[in-house]
Formats: sequence, structure tokens, C-alpha cells
Amino acid sequence: MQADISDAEKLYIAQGVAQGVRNDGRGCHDARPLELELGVVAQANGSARLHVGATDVMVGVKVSLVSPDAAEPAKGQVFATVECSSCASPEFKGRGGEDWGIDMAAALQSALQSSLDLGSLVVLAGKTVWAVHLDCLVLNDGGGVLGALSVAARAALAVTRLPKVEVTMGEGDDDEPEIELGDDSEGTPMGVTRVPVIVSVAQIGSRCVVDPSAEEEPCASAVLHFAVGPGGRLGAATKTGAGGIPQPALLEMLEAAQQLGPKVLRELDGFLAASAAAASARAA
Amino acid sequence: MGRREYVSDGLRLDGRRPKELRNMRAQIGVLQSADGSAMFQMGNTQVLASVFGPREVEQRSQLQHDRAIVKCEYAMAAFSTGERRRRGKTDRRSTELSLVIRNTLEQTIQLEEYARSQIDVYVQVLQADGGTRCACINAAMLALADAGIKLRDVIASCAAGYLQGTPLLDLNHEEDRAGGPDISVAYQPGLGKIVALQMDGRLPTEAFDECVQLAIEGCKAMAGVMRKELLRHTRALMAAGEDAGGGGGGGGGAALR
Repeated sequence: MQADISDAEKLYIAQGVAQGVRNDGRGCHDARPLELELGVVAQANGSARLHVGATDVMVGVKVSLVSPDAAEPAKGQVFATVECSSCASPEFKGRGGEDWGIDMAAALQSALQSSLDLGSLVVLAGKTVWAVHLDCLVLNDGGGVLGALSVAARAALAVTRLPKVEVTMGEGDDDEPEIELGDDSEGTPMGVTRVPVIVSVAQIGSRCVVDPSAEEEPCASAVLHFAVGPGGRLGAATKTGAGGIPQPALLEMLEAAQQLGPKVLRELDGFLAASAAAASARAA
Repeated sequence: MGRREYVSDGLRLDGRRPKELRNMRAQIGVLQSADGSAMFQMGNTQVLASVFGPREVEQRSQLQHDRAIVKCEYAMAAFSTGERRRRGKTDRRSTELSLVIRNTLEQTIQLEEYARSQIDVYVQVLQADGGTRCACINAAMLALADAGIKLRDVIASCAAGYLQGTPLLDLNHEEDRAGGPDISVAYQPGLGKIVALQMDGRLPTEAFDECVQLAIEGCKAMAGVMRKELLRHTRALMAAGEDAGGGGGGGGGAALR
């Protein structure tokens, strides 16, 4: 989605970037500060709300027991959806923003499927597995929405507890096993250490900037979104935008993403550890 | 469901007394892009509303020469309910609720002040635990005020139910599901008018007045909370205006929008 800004403003931003100055005072390789809130939805198994600049997103995780996919009986399931709330902008009313949401959901879903341990989501081999539904809501588009969603998703998954399950096998061979759900509080966490964050790098003029704002996005000829895991491991990449990227710039953009990604992950994990410690101190 | 006790020893399932509201929280100016926005929360029900406009009418055929038109859209987040459910924005329930909210707001906005224009109101349910339609109206009202749109009065909305011979104020989801009657009222406390009333379920006629009266008392309490937040927000804006140079010209105007 594009902010409505004039050609003069675009020129101003582009010329600033050419000199290494961005209109919010950041350097080209600086991301905006993250403001994260955990457990914001009582009805979800895990949830998070994230503000990054003017961008405001919310993620709720719900888990449920389902029969596994016949093709992959030993794997749990992960689904991601992204809805653009009309509260963010009238252009999202009705079915507006639906395509954009589907696009971002696909990126998130593939990042999660390749990084979560789907085997650990099996409750009863071939019969019952956990389905993890990650529902995202865009409440304000201030640029860099996909990146914000990936951070919020990782945070929401990190605080999600899979409820404790007790399986009682039937006596006969034909009896269906009984499955009893325990309390949320005594559940097991999901392993999220390998879950990547998505870093967006925008090409503006001949330079690239990370984490573009809503004003910078329309100035960019192209934006590359990299899924970066711990240690800077590259998970996936997609390109959006109307222009092409000169090949030498590609490596520079990748490098910028690989530098920023682990930094964001460290910051996020530090925050999660601190809030978990605070929560257990409260409980004690 | 069987015979479940919804009121025992004068206390409800969540520990409230029959005429007790849940904890309320209201906050104005929560979203950046909207002309006006607000969050309203009661218990575990939480709703966001944003207002865009008054602006140019999108479809010229709908333009009214003597008043503004109001557009309203209601959406529920997939994670907002106990059971995960992804709803379209255009399913029957959403459409019905959009109409109720729009109708309520149309009676409160001074539409004639904004001829030939359109006001968009979007409400987004973040958490649903009973009373969403009331929370939506309350959030929308605060968002309209935040957008600086002229209103005839404050409106506040609250619901009351009737279970086991006891009128109950502000039902939560569990009480709502009990199948008893549920009366939602939107009320203008200054003008003393009921602007919206919806009831489903069966209710003894003699209890009707009592329940409506209870809902109105709830509305008055909600209006108090909303008025407090409006005052807090306005004071904050005034302070910001003074900081920006006494509100002279562009500086103060920007801070005050």
C-alpha cells in the first residue's frame, strides 16, 4: 500500500537517501525501534502487538487438534492469515487489501513451515496433530508491515503454550483413543529459536535503506524482503516493487539484511526472556 | 447446557453482582492514520474504531445535498473469539451490525453540518466476550469525537439480560450463550433519548421495563467513563497546543490537528 505523497516529496526523500540521510533521522542501515506488548488477546493461546514507527500490527495464535494431512501424517500444521483492518485505511474496506494480505500471509507461512519443528506438533502419530493458526491484523500501515508482522509472529509463537494432552488408549484395537486437554498454563512452549524475522531492504536511487517507512516505500524502485534466521542464515527472499535491481546492489542489500536480522532477533529474544522472567517472578 | 446456576448467592459466574458492570477502559487517539480513533474495552471485550472524514463522497449517486452520509463497516479479528473463526466482512452478522451501528450514529451526528460529504466509521473487534455491539457503538462515538465531528450528545450503549428471574447488567459471552433475553440499548444521556434498542429471546412483559431501565443506568455509567476520557484527551491536546507556541497559527494547529 502506498502513502499518498507528491513528486516533490519523493525527490526530497530520494536526494536525502543519496546523501545518507533519511527524513526520520535514521541512517540507511538503521531500523526503527520496536515497541512490543505480549498477551494482548485473552482469547488466544499466544498473542502480541507491535508498534514500529507508525506501523501497528497484532498477531494472535490459536492451536487446535486436527487430523493430519494424509500426505504428511507425521507433521503438524501451520497456517498464517493476514487481514488488513479497515481501521487502518478506507482502502482496506470491503475486500480491499485482501490480495496484499494473502501475499504477506504466504511469505509468513512459508517462513514458519520451514523453521518450526512440525514433527513436535504430533500428538498421536497418523491420527491427531496440532494445527497452529497464526492470524495477523494490520491496524496501521506505516511502512515495513511484513517485517513487523514477522517480529510480532515470532513473539506471539514464543509465548504460545501447547496445552498438555493426555492420551488414553482404548482397550480393543478398534477403540478410538481418548484425548484430554489440560490447562493452558501447564502447556509446553513451541521451539521458535529457528523462526526467522523478515527484513525489508528498499532500493532508493542508487542506495538501499532497511526497514522503509510509509513515505519511503513509494520512493523505492524495488523492495527485497529477506527472511533472516539466527546467525544471519537466509531463509527466503521475495521482491516487490515496479523496478529492477542492478545485480551489484543485490549483494549489498542481502548484506544489510543479514546484519540487521540477527540484531533484531537478539533484541527480541532479550525482551522475551526479560518478560518471561518478570512473569515467573510475579507468579512466585 | 442443563441447569446451570448463573446467579448464586447474589453473585454471577465471573463474580460480579447482578447490576455490576465489567471493568471499563476507554482510550482516544490510538491509531495514527485515522482522522479519529478510539479503543473501548469492557472486561475481555475489546474494540477499536476509526473515523475517516468528513470527506468527498465516493459514489456520486449517493451524495446528499443537505446532509452527510455515514458509511460503517464492522469486522471481527479471527482470533477474537474463543473458537477460532475467520469471518468475512460481508457475512450476514457483520452486515446487520454495521447497519445497527450506522443507524445509531446517524441519529447522533449533526449530519446537516456536513452536507455533500461522507463520514466513514470502521469498527474492529479485537476480543469478543459478549456485548460487542455495545462496545462498538461506544468506541465509534469516541472516535467521532476525536475526529472533531459535531455530535448532538454523547451516546453510550450497554446491554442487560434476564436469567433465573434476575435482571443482569452487561452480559459476558457465557451468560449471553445461556439463551435468555438480551437487550442492547444505546442512549443519549443529555437528551434522555433511546436511539437504539434491540432485544432477542423471550422476556416477561413486566420485566421488560426493569431490564431497559437497568441497561440505561449502565449506559449512564459508560457515558461517565467516556466523558472522563474525552476530558483527559482534550486537556492533553490543550497542553500540547501550549507547548507548540500558544496555538498561534500553524504550530498550534498541527498539534491540535
